[in-house]
Amino acid sequence: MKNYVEFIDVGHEYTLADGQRMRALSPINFNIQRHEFVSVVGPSGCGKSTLLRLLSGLIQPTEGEVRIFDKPVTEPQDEVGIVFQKPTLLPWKNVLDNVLFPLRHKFGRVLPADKQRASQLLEMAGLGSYQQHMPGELSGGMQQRVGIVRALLLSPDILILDEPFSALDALTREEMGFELLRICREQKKTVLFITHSISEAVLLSDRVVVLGGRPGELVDNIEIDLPGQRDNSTLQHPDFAAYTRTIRNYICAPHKTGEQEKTGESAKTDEPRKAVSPHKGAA
Amino acid sequence: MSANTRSLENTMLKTRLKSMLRNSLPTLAMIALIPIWELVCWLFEVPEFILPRPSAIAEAFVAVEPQRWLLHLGATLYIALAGFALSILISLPLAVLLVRSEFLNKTLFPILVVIQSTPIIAIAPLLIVIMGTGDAPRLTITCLITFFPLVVSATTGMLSTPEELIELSRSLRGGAIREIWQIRLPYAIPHIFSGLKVGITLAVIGAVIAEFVAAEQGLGYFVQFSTSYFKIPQAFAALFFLSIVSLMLFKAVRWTQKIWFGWSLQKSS
Amino acid sequence: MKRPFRLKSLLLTGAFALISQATLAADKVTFQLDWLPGGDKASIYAGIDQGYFADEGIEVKISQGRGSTDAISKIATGSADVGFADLVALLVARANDQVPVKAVYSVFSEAPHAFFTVKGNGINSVSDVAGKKIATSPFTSSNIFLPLLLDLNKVDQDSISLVKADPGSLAPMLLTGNTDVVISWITDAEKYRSQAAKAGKELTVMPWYDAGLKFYATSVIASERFLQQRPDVARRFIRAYNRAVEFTWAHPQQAAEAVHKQVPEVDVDVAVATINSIRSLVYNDASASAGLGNFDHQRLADTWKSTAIAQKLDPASFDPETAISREPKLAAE
Repeated sequence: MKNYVEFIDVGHEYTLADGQRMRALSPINFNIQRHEFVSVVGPSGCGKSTLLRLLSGLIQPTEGEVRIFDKPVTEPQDEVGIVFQKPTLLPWKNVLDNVLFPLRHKFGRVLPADKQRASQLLEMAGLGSYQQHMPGELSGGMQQRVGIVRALLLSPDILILDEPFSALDALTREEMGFELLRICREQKKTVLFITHSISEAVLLSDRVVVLGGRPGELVDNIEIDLPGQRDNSTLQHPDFAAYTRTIRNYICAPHKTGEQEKTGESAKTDEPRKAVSPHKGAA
Repeated sequence: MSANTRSLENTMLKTRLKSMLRNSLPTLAMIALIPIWELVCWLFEVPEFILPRPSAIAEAFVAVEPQRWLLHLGATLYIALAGFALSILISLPLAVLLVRSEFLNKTLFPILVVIQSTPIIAIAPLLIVIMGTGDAPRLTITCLITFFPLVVSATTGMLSTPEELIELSRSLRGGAIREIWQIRLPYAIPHIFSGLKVGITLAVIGAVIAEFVAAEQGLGYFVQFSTSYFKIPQAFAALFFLSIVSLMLFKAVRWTQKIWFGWSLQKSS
Repeated sequence: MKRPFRLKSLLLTGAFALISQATLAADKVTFQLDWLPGGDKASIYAGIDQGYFADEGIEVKISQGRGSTDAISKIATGSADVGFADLVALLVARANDQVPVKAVYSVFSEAPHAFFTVKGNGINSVSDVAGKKIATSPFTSSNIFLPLLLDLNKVDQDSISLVKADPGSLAPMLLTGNTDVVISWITDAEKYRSQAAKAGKELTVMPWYDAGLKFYATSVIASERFLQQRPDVARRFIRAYNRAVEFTWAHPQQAAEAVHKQVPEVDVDVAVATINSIRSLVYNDASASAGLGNFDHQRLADTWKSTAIAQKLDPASFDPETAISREPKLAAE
């Protein structure tokens, strides 16, 4: 399969206000393939958000290269849509206009065809009857759905989501996850999903990239091989528990995961580890 | 059943009465103050030149023909509103510059603070000498007094825009103008309006200060004229008129916000 | 090629129209008051009302002021052509800053400074203020002459306590007994008197000219530019103004009504009383001997000498004659 996104020895250092440099990310390598749903998990401060900003072209890596479709990312790309942690809708625009905002902001005007498309997308996200509502009248979950629809409007091939459900309650969160999965399958998106919820990452992803440490480095790159369509029943699958345990061990006790050290070699390569046997990982 | 609905109606009526009472409380308090004031003046024989009675003030108010009041009111309103409009026209672009450029923020802002901390009343006569006796110095004085809260509130508002929206704008490559116009400025609306509310009352003060220094019309001029002739009740009448005008303008700003920017009120509450 | 030509001819016609209009229309003169309008300024309003200025082909626009210095600087900067100012203030301004403004007509040939007190305070003459509390406004020119006056009347300066307060609060201070004496101008006596009457008290006025201070006060001043560029207008203006002064004190009631007509805030009664009470500032021995409106050399020299002493300036450093232009007045006669 073709690599849509490549991180090649990508590392990043921020320059602080006092001129000091602070490393946020040690050089890492990994790829995202076409229509793949990849999650990035890790403790806070491990460089997850830096990853998002690098891929979206908002910042340039100080080392290495980020490539999309075999081209280096040097500025924000049309192929990339971003969903933020907070919905950050514009409080003075209704739902429809909020969804249309990227078009208005990019091109200065909105065509009737765009409106129709926005309506369709809202319909698909179950917000058809809320088009004229103001953001303040919606629940947090609905606001975030509008945020997702807004990111989809420009039809990006790649969707980056930065902990999009972290402000929602647990039930809404699960429901939104499946909803996101459905939308991404329907719209055929390649997804980089940043989260600090391990179960969420395992439940939704084809692959989970585990970051750790400070500055962040790639700890593992695990292919999630769960049968069938992902839904509530997936949570009951024994491998699901095993995967989450494996990842939890990386994050909660990174220093004592001696067992992983042996296979740690693969973490440095861009080849995802083929099916780490969940049973073995559950030491 | 009917008793139930009646009691429900009763409680609804009660809550409505209560809210009406709460809303009109400030007005009622002010009205209640008037007879007390009158009584105190009468009991202690307070001389008119120290504190005129409300009845004397009312008399003085009626004694001046309505056209006179309108003339003075018109003059003050013109200076206050035109100066205020000018101040908005200057301060909003200035705020945009301060937000966009760190260099300007570092160099211009201290100058603005210096201007703000200069007692305008002290330089007002100079402005008259420099700018002549037309509207220019009066507008300038009003403008100088009102622009600072506007600049500060607009700047703070624009800087309070969520970082994500700015990143969204950058990821869309919408450009600096659209970033300001479509994101930062609308986001600053609640802040700008609190600045406007402070500003409009200051504009009236500015107009009055200007009229103290050089004017032949206006409520401020009329206050000064009245005191120079020791017509204290008339001066008080003009003062009351002024504060009512000030209050009305303040309310007008609030209505403007409510009608055109209702969402910004929702956000602050 | 046609358009520029047409534009040019259009401009020329416009310019001609303007010029011919200017020659046809009256000469416009802006008159700067030294304070708010009132009975003491009635002469200029009466002159307009009686049509004296119109007779001379002059259209006068009155601009209100906030003190002599304010009036002098507005005339110096060209905001106004002619106006009222205290001669003392003009002498000081010319001695210090060479402002291009000259006095052309003497309105008050006695100084209006005075002590006000209420009956029953035991103060009947200037020398009685020794040991008393005196209130004055911070910026009045009277303050400059107070030490001179006290010296002339052998009052120990250290014995009095001088309080400075806003002009608007002086009358209440006097009437409530917060001060024994107030320094004010005779032009304000009527306002104090009516205020005192309301409080059941009677005002006593002690003019400083009765106590030895002899000098010129409010005068008509004009910018040097106005005098040089429109000398004929200046002469006609003075001629009309002289008639206005004579009319004002001959018909106080009509003069007061003229003020009220143009400034409705001014009460006719107060204005009439003011005009009557300041008659002595205009008609007195000094103006009788020199002629109404004229500056006498000796009295002018004395005015400057007192001013210089009071201001701690060298009297020889400045010639007061340079601050005066007698030409328009003389030519007008």
